[in-house]
Amino acid sequence: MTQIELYFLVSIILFCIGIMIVLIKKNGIMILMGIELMLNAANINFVAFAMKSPEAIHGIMFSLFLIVMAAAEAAVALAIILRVYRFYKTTDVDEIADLKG
Amino acid sequence: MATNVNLSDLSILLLFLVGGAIFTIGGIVTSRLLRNDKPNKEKNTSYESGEDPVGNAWGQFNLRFYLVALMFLLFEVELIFLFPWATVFGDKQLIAETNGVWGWLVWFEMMIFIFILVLGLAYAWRKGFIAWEKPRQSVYLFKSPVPGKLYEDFNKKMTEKEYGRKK
Amino acid sequence: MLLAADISVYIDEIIRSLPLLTTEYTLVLSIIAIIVMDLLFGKENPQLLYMAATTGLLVALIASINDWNTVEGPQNIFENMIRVNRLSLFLSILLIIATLLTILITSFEKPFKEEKKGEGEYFSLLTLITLGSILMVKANHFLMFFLALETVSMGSYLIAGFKFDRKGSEGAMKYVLFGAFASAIMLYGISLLYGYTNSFGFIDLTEIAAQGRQIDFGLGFALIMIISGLFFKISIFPFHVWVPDVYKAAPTSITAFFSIVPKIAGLMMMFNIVNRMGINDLEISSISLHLDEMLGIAAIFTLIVANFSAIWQKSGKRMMAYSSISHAGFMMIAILSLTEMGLYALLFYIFIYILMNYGVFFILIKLENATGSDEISDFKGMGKAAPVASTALVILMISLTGLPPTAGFTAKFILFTTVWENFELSGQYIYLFLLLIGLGISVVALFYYLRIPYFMYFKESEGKREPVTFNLFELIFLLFLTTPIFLLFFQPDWLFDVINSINFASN
Repeated sequence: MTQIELYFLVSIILFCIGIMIVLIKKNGIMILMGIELMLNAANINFVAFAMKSPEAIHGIMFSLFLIVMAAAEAAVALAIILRVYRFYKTTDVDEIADLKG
Repeated sequence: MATNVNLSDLSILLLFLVGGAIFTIGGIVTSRLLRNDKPNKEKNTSYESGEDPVGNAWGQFNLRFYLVALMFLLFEVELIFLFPWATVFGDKQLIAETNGVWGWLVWFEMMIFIFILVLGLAYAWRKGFIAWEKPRQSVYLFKSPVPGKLYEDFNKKMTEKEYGRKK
Repeated sequence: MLLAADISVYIDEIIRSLPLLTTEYTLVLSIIAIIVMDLLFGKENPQLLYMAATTGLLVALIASINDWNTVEGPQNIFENMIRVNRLSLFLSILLIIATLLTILITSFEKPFKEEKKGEGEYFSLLTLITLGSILMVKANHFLMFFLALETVSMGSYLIAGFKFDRKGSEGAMKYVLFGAFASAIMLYGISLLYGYTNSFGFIDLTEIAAQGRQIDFGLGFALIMIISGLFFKISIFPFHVWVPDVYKAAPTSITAFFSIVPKIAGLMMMFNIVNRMGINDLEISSISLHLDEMLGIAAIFTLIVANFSAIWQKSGKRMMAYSSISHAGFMMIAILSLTEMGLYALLFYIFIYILMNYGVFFILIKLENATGSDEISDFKGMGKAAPVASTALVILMISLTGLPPTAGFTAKFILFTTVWENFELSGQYIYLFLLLIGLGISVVALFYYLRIPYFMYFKESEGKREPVTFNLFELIFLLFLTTPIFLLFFQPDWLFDVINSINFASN
């Protein structure tokens, strides 16, 4: 296995763990953590593939932007979940189900 | 500083380990020698920024912590853009090659970025998200028939009972 | 890496690129102005923020009309990050107009009139989403595309909860969790694509594909992941579940905004990616899946699921949510037929859709103000109490269904003609299916679109209804939205002349 393949393997495993967390967990904040894992898996990919790319700087730049984007998204999502918690006193996504129709 | 000592990579690591150990152990030992030693129950618990460290690990933290953490997260992560910028900006050759145009261009770009960040900070400040919300204390109007002195004496007695034996 | 020798080239590129983005600068400046004004004197005069947002958008509108008049061919700027062409300029004009309409109908919405809450945030977020959408339409690079998309998404997550009540927060949470999941999947797709092509540009994949336009499973999977993320944003079949909840929970003017601005931006992004990367020609060899068939099947299922679910809805806003899913399906059909005619059909459809949707939501806001709910059964007897609103609603609903004599018919007619031509040209049965399903589904649509007028005219209300009145300004606004729907049925050339000046080949 080459180095890039090893990195790719890590990223795939991380991505699958993230998807499993999103699908299985009920807690909103846990789901958010799963999503962060998926984003970081993509980040590993960007840096790893940049090693073989002629435009290496592009992959690395993308990962920098992605880190900031992930932080912003986490902040937005946490703020919204806090707001939900104030109304529902829970972050369990199954119990937060007033909207039906 | 000219030195004849050749350090291999691993010995640098060892140097760090030894240095770290000296600093930590030295600090603990010195403070042990200098301080006066009067432990009580409160002091013996591990320090967690004012939160009660004992209890369920899944317990809820106060919402105020989340707000501050969110603010910190946003401003801290944005700094990531300053590092690649700084390496390009600090490149004398690039600036010299373009008679300084490059330097000004890059400088203005970063100033715009920082201005927007500062605007965000000003927003948070003005809207009162940074202020540490103090819980409102309601004045307790009940007048106890028991005089305050009795309570103080009782508290003193109980503290002595709990901690006094350890001495 | 940056080489010292290249540096003047970079600077020249930046200086060349700067003047072509005046619309964006205006929007950024107006966002900053709104925030500063909000901080300084937002509490005393919220009216000022309203004016600032409107002024900013109007200046941006003038800037993009100016660009539309001056820019001829496509221009790649900022190292191919952004491509400015007549198509993207036309769409940015439409997007800004749509945002202006949103701000207008916001001013009619009761909760916003009465409780002044977070207006600075509201207007700056609206402008921000518009900015993101315009950049999305102009993007020619996955980094630019992704950042623009996230700008749109994050603004949307926040603005979805602007009712500040229990359900509003729930809708926002569902939106943010689904949305973040979709963008994570799309991002992984982009990273895989980068691994395959070593580039973030929208490069033509048919050139690197093997004989017979075949690609291997990994690359195909990456493309499917990217397309799924876009499907989420424009609410195509397997990823549409969030739409009714979010649309119901958001303030009504925001619902109108969601069904237009981010959706159009997503659709055009889809068009650009499919068009520039040649996705519809590709076939994944190991499972022999043609990607254009996959897109077509998604569109068919979208139409079926959306229209049959809409029949059972009790709430007007939820019904309009399913209606917007269904229209996204129709526009997907136009994207699939990647001909000049297909693009023109799409643009015509988008233009008419903006008018119809804002009209319907404006009337929904008026009815909501009068009855205090958006349940269809609460609109009983409104035919007598609100004759103007009911008449206008009937016209708009007929247009949404796609019946003459309205421009909705013209839009669907052009669309289906394109699909038929495509079938004759390529002989692929997917186009025939699309045509038949599209025609059949329009009949189903008639049932639910005419349910609101049915309740208004043929059911008596229990109590006496207060008459719903329109002031002069509101009447002019309503006329402004409904007249073109008739005019463009009789004179579609007026719009077509504008659309025709977009040169398809140079996009």
